[in-house]
Amino acid sequence: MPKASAVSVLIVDDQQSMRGICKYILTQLGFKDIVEAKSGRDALTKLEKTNVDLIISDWNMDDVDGLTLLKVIRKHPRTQSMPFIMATGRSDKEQVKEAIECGVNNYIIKPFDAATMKKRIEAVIGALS
Amino acid sequence: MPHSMTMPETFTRGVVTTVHQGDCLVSVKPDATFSTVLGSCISACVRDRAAGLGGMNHFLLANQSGSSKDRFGESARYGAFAMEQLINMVLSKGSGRKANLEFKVFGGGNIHAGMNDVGAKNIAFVRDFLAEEGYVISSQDLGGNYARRVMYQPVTGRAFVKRLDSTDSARLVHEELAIAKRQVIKPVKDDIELF
Repeated sequence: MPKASAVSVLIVDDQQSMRGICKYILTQLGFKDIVEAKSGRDALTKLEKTNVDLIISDWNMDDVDGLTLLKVIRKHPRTQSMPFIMATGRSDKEQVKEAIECGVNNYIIKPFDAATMKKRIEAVIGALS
Repeated sequence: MPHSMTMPETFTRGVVTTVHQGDCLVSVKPDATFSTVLGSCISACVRDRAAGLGGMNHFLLANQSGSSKDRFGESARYGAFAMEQLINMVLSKGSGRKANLEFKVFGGGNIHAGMNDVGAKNIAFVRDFLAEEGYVISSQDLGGNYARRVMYQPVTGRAFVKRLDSTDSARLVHEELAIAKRQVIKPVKDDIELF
């Protein structure tokens, strides 16, 4: 049973307010090791230097979008098994199937609250202690 | 930049769609006009100048306290999602480049002298949100002690505002707050279970 405080999370979103919201909720859930990336490209740069236990990424981003980021991550041996949750808008629900084909572990539809986020994370990494 | 108080001769309404509280609509049609009535509510109009399309949302943060500790509270989160949804819809249908976006914001009236100034807190929210994301407001008609009707052409980005008289305004603000209180604490239901 993983302890939230021992799980490192990478939040990828090009909107600062969304990163802030996500970090706020994760902190409420007990996560402490939280890294932020402001784009898909920034996430790839950060993943070159560090391993994380969980990635929560936005779908729509200016440079490297969430789906492209997922594909790149799944190609590299070191990162290919990293748990990946995609955050999508209501209008992107149809795209979720495409993300599944590319190996996403789960998804979360915005707007979300702490309880939904917890449920999605636990579905991927197991119940949090 | 001030907006016309009356409809100019050259403004053709075309096909008018009403944007209700909680809605977020985008159109690429040259004859489309979005119309909404705002008391304390805010409508943001976002247009992709390069692609020639735009959209409008309409929201109210009922429980926004205005204090910094409430930055990620339920109300603020709801507002941020409403803004992100509109921005993403415009970006995904348009050029995909944030630098091409044009922002116009309306509403946030303080209709009831006796009520907590919900409008002002909503104005502060939208200004802070856009500033934080690095966007510039190109045009606005915010605050005041009146409600307003806003008409917006998403393809041209032209906006027209008509101030409404106070008789309807008070009733409107009560309705807005009632809707907002139902909407804020409402995460999207997971209606697809694929895992």
